[in-house]
Amino acid sequence: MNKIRKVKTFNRKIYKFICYLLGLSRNEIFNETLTLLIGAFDSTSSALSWFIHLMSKYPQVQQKIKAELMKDNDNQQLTLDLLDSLVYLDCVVKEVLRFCPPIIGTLRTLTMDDRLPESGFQLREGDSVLIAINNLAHDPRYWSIDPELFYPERFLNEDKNHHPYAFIPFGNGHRQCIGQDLARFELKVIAARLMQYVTFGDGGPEINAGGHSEAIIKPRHIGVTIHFDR
Amino acid sequence: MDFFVLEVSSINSIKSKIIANLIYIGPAFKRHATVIVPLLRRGKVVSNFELIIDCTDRLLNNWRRKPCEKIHTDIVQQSQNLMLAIFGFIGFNYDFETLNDDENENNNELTKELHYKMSVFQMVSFSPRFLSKIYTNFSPRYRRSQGIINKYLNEMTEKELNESPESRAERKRTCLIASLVASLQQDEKSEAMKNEQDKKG
Repeated sequence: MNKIRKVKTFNRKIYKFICYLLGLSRNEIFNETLTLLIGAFDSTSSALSWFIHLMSKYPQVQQKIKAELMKDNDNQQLTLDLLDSLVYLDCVVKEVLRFCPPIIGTLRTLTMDDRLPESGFQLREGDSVLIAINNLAHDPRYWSIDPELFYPERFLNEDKNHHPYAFIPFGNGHRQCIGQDLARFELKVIAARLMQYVTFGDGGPEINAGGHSEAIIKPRHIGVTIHFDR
Repeated sequence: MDFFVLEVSSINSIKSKIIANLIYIGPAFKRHATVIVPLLRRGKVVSNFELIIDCTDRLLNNWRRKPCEKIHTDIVQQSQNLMLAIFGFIGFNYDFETLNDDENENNNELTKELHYKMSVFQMVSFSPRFLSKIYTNFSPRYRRSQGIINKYLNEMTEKELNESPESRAERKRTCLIASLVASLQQDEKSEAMKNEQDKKG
């Protein structure tokens, strides 16, 4: 019996290795393509919308981004080296994702029975648990500066070493978002380019009220003016 | 985009299908991740720097044509247009025509259907499962949309398969659709009949 079990385990390992190496069916490719398309454009466009909305509400943040872009760069060329040097813009992108994460939460499934430490709530193997990204990002227990403030500088100073799980806009662990490098890069490049040319203005308290909507969290009311600086 | 872990037994509705795509479990997750993850690492995505700037400049040009006192209330749609254009080029070498000079005149059929699909997804996300199943199984509009999207995806796949082997081998390291098509199983019909545990890949 022991021998049979060993053979079965070996076969399973071989099978897993083959699965790891080989490809996809046409139907899987279709599903994957569609999922990537929808996942890629809806959540990142939501983050970009929030960026524009928040810039219109916080003109001093826009001015600081513009000052960083102009520093030692009179001809306003946008290069990869310049992009990498934009530390404040990095903080703004992070703060946008913290302040208004586009995804409600991430699900994890228990691989064994467990119990929540404080409430004692019993969880069973196979249960799915929703980790609420927005709640963690706004929980005052995990942030030195009031989390209800939109304050990008927090990532330079007081909240630089925040709790690793307080800020997880792309999930975390083995199954975190596979597109996060692309999303972060796109957001930073687009934000830098927009700030090189335009200033967003607040369209008014009602029309630009923000608010949340739908499964992917987007601004429900957004109205901004776009003033070209050059 | 996030990969969740959930047990999915029967997949019929749009919600289940999209979620199932996000949550490939065990070996299926590994097969899919092996193809896609390497192309989305920072080392690869920085090569799209100029493309992202070009697309953003096109959006800026569209804005420049508008009167400066205008209050833009369609920022969410504008952002979606930009992101769809960028991802279309990066991932699929496909122009969704969302940044045309006249943004209100986008006649790209696939773009329209993707927006429709997103609206359905938003609608069924918070609906009871049986309602979403009824809608996606019996709505002629939804079924027609699915057919159109499949037609375009099939065309993209065929176009990629018609490229020379050298070109495909080169592009599969940089282009998502090339990488996906390069991973296409040889005998996919028989593969499709098997259980996940028995699939070769």
